[in-house]
Amino acid sequence: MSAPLAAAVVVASVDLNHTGHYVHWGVIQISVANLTVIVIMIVLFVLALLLPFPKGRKHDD
Amino acid sequence: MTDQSARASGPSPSPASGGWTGALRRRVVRALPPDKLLPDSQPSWVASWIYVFGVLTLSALCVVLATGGLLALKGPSWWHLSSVGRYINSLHLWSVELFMAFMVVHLWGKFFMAAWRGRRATTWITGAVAFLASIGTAFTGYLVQQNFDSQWIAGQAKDGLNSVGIGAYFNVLDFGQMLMWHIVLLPFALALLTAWHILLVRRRGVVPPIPLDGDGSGATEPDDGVAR
Repeated sequence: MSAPLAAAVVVASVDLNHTGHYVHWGVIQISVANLTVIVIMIVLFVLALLLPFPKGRKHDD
Repeated sequence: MTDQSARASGPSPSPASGGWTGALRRRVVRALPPDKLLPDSQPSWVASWIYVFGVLTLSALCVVLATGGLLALKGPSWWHLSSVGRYINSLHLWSVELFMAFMVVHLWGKFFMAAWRGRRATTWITGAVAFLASIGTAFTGYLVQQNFDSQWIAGQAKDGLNSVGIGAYFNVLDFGQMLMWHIVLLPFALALLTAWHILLVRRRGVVPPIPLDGDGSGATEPDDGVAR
């Protein structure tokens, strides 16, 4: 993906105040905004599984 | 000594006494004793970020309900025309976006850990139905935006709903009906389902991980809520 195209995708996903940009893949058609949200959710899911959880205080009583 | 004073000062009544309120109290305390209802520790497997998404969903729902309540109190002129109203309106939208995103990640996590194991089927089902109720609430929310977007969504949705025969009862072109679904019926159903879901999580405990060499039923794993 060229740099201007990548920049356009990022801008399109952030600035929602215009007609939506769409990605076509066969019969599948999805807006860049929705695709971005789905990708963020998948990244969140993977990070939640991989990142270590901070250890809490021990209850000695 | 009268019967009444004897009852007040005498030994505690038999377990079966107390009428329907006593029976209900005993049943509730048996199902949800205080240490299960408000535990101060969780099993060791809960120490993972994936378990945070349930409470994140609940937190986002609180913001959704609070901002929605403000919008209902102040009315359309306020949320369309004043800067504070527009801010609260946006807060309502974006807290819903976070609510749905957190809920779906929570759903993915619970699906892949087969969270219905160990007599937790009702917990899973109430969560799934709450998800469906949330979709309906979000949909009716889009219908009551009072802009061209909501008109377009209603125009598209009516054909689908008419094709399955419910258009006469759930008329997406009827703004008043959709507003009532959005601010009364569906939030009430969602709040009930959420409360039921959380009480079931407290009662049955958080589902343990799938054992590497077990049968995966979840029935024989430790479920005492003790931190390890």
